[in-house]
Amino acid sequence: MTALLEVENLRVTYAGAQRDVAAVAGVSFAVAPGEVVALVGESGSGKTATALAIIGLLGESARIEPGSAIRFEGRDLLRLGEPEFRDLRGRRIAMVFQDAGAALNPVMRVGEQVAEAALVHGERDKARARAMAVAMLDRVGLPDAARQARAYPHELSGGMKQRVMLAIALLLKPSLVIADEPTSALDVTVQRQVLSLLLELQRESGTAVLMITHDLGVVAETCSRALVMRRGELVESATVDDLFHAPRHAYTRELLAAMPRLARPVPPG
Amino acid sequence: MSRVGRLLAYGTVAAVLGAALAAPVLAPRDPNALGDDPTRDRRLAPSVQHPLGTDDLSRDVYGRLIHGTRVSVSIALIAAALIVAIAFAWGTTAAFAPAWLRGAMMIFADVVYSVPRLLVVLSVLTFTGQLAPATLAVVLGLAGWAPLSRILYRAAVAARRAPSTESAMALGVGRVRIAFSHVLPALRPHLVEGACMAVAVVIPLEAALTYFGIGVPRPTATWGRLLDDAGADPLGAWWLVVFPSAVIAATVMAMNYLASDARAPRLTAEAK
Repeated sequence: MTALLEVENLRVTYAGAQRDVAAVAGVSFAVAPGEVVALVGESGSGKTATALAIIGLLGESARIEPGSAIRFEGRDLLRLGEPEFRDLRGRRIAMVFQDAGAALNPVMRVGEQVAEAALVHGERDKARARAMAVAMLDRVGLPDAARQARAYPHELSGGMKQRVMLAIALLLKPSLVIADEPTSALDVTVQRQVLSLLLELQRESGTAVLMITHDLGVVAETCSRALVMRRGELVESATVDDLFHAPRHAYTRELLAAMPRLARPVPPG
Repeated sequence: MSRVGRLLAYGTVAAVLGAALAAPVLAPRDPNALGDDPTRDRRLAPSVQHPLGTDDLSRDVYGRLIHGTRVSVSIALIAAALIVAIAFAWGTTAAFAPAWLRGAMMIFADVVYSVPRLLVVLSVLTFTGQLAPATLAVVLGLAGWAPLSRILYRAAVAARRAPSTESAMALGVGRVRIAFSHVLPALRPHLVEGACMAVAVVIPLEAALTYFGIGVPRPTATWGRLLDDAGADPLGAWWLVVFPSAVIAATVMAMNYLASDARAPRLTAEAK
């Protein structure tokens, strides 16, 4: 199996006021084509910094240390010039953000925002891009997609907005989608719908998903393999079965113990 | 603000702009022409013939006010356009510049900001003497762009870092398109507000400078010139002071209202 994405000894440092802070301290992992992998950890564990490094959107206060390598479809992303990287973004690697309400452009109709993905990646025919957008919005379950494509983000519910985000991310059938807490801003019932939609789309297009989350419920439901991060380091990499039944690292066990469970029903009498 | 307030504000601005545009129609006589008998026609109280009275030199105050509106409003608009243009160029360039240049540009803006505007204008006028209205407008514009450039810079930086901008970048959207579809819309209310505030600041500044005899030269009528023409004994001829003052005050208040109206969040059709 050749890996789609290989992260090798990734180190990301943020320039702090007093001293530099290592957000990611030497992380290595690989994602196979079509695989759904979870990147788990608490806030500040470096999972989002890892994701942003992969898609090349770390802010200017962050720096990737020499010796790090991120290979994607055989190319080292860290050696890529900005124009080439921009060509990959949205077409081969896409990202789904946590808060769709904030991530969508508030002054653009959602249909246009979906179509934009096609337009920035070489589609010249606006009408065709728009038709693609409506078809994709229909696919992600936006009712009456042709009409809703003309809606602005604030006119849609949270779940619908996240569906629009999925439509944008998956429009060009990228080989990797990075989903950064894609459901944590949603109600539990809506979470399930959005997750299963993401998995459906993932299966249809053979896309690999790197699911960044701190919600082990999401991991159990969607992923085949999980990477556990803590303080910038990868402390465990296991199949989801092993993770839940035979966690090796103490931190993983802590995480599992912290997961809310349904209490055992109280016996009558 | 209430509907009445809004109506008053927009009505005032429309009336002032209308007077400036249609001055030759509304007051066809030369605003500097003396009365038929300059001695008899001095300081006449408002009447049918002279709705706003006449001044010390027997000139018709109504005509001078209308033509003065034209000059004062032109100065304010030119200065405001310049302020907005420079502030926009400076602020957005800094927002997209590399960190060191960005810092330097904003420090420069702070330095410009820290020198009182009146002082800058006074020093320039000391060297140049009184200026033609258009030149004065340029000086006022060049002296006043710094605070707005800071506001636009902050707004542009915030828009650049907004989650929606980040997600557009994750989509591979280029810088130019980011600037036009994400940053520019976020700046629009600040631009409108800044333009209105610039007008509201420049109008009293021009009036003051001209009143003190260092702004627009005689005999050109402007709002400040009319106040100056009220002369040493304004209390004997109240109409010389009241009408120009009222016009200046109403215009400045209306522009302030327009500015806050631009900033206020708008209810969408559904939310109403």
